[in-house]
Amino acid sequence: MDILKKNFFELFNIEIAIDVNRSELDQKVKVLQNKFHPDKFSSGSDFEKRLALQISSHINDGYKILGDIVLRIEYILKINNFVKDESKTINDINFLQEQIEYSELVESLNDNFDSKIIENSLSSIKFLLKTTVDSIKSSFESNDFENMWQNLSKLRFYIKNINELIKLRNK
Amino acid sequence: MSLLQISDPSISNDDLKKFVVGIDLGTTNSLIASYDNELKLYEDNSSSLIPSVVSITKEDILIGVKAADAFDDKNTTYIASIKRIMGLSYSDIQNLDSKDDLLLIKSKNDLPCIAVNNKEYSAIDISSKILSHLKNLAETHENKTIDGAVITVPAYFNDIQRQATKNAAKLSGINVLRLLNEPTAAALAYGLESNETGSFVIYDFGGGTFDVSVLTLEKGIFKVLSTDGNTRLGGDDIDNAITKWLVNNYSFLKSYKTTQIKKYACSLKESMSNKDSFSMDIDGNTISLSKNDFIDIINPILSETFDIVTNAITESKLSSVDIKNIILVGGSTRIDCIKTLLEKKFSCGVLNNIDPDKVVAHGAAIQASILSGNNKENILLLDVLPLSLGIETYGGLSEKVILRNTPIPIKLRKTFTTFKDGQSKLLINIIQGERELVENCNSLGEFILKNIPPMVAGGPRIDVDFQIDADGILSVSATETTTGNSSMIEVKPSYGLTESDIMKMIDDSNNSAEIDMTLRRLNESIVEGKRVIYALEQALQNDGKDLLSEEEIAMVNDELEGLKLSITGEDSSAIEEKIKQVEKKSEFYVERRMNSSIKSFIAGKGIDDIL
Repeated sequence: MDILKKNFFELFNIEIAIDVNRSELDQKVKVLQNKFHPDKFSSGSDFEKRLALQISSHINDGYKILGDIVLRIEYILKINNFVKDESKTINDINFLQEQIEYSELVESLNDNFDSKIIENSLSSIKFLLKTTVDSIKSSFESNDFENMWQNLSKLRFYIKNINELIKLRNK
Repeated sequence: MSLLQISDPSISNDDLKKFVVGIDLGTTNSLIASYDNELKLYEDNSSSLIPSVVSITKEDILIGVKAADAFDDKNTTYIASIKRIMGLSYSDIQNLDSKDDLLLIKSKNDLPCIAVNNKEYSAIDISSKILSHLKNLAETHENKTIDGAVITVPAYFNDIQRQATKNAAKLSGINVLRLLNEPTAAALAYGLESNETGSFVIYDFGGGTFDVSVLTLEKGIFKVLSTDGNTRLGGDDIDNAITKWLVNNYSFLKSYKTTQIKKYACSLKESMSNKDSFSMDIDGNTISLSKNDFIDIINPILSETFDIVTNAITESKLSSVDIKNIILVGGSTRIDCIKTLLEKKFSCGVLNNIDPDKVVAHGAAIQASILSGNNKENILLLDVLPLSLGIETYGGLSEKVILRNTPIPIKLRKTFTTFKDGQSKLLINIIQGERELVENCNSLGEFILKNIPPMVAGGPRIDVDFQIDADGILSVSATETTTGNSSMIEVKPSYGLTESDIMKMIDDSNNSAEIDMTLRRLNESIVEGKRVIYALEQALQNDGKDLLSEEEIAMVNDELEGLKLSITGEDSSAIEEKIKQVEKKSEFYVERRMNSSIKSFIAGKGIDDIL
């Protein structure tokens, strides 16, 4: 089945890029599901139903991956056949230092809640996140997948940090 | 741009029109309705709200209005609110407030049952009796047999509860077109009536369950963004809270049965709207309740619902300023202070102008008419998975594989391997729920993969596909990829009935109606044959010349002629066989049509042209 073989950027008919337009993606998933959702085939043959279920699931999978920055970058690496040994670690000393400081901060915040400190570190991590995304973009433009992968690992940490801090703030 | 119409041709023949219904199988009341340009509700003793009650006496089983009337009869076993234990194990219900009303015993494999007259009735049995009753009411009224039904379930129902509902329907001989989430059904009815677009919250507070869905409505597409809820929170809990308060404040009530006091509590609750206080007389004693006391009693329950609304909005990635309206659904939203409190808390419009009891059945009936092809409007409901799906890993932890609020249908593939040489079996425990520890979630059952070819440890690669369909129900399949063998999967439910138990129950119930079946089957196969012919002829007319060679067209036409001849006969098996053959031989054409349809999308049209 041709549809199932298309990569998700082709399926959604959008350019392969680190950024996607969220509302465009929301619109396109509706258009695609409006053609292929199983409910559109509920009085069809078993074969049609099975096919619709497969295609509709594939569309939702694409929607999930394209809609999430980490999954999307992983996917771009995958369709460029870049495979990296997952056990390889990040060897950026500055970054490791940053993460150690961060865990110390969270520990002290757990003992001693301070909303001002939380807000400050949230905005500084958000800034780091933005810089990382920018550098992923430029690596992608120069086809430097190795560097993209390195920065992707950092990105995962920053996102995790931000979620943790938000959780802490709302507690 | 014309839409792909493989299965949904504009059938003009009236005999192709199917009799389909929407069923709201509620905790307290159920409704059954059909929709043909307007809503038609079927009644039981002139009431469209049909009590979800079964009363069993020595001689008879009463259902619905008659069963509810037998409430005071000492010789009957009165069974109400069965939905609260639907899909639960005996251990699950131990902390349920209303478990004492139901006289449950622990039956085989930890299944809770009600024992009456030396017979055991599970929640599936009782629900199927209610469904059969609803089916009879509609069929008697229309003098037609039901071809299919859309049945609503709480959005927050897990896989086991959904499956149990589907099994109850099968047991009562109902062909389930779709399980539909109650808030989504309500949104459909509301959206079509009001023609509104934007983002909405459905606050669905029923007799036994509470559901919230956040959705957007645009050009006939209803997209659920998030859903949350509590399947054990409803009007029942309010009645229980008032009952407790009554017993604490009026000592004379101590000699009354709890079920009786609960009735008084319920009428107090229903009388409180627009009043500052209310009193009633019980056997010469007066009980009264002020509005302030009432709010104090129900406040913990309402706060819980408001927290769930907040969570659902956060999960939807909207903020409360994006929400146009909160729409109230479910009988419990008749309590008037809910509206005021919601308005205050979320500062947006709260609508209670639709009948909260009927709107779910209304939406289900519309969806049934769409799915059957009776209704040609271009409407689509996109729903989400309510609870995350995970796999048990070492240390009793749940590793989530599909997160809640993921749009469905969705498929996920996980690859497993063996850890011993020559290992031939693999056991996967599938978990549903948000908590980290397996023991705090629901186990959907253990899937045992058998016939793994003997290899060294870590050698086999077993791809396991977790497929969630549009009903939110999981199915699992597995293939060993190094040999290409599909592994056999045996499912062991965590508790309750196995698949073969269900099959046997369905067989037993069908055997009793053997006689009508032959004629019915012939009619069904002829209708189905006509539908296939019509759909294929329409397709050939639309794009046959573009997608098929002359030989292929001739072949399809040959098959069509064969089927046309076959439906003039009286052998239903032969017709069914012929339908299968035609469908099989035109599969390549279906594939080509789907592929060509995606091509036209990719060729790029404006969204407005397509939707």
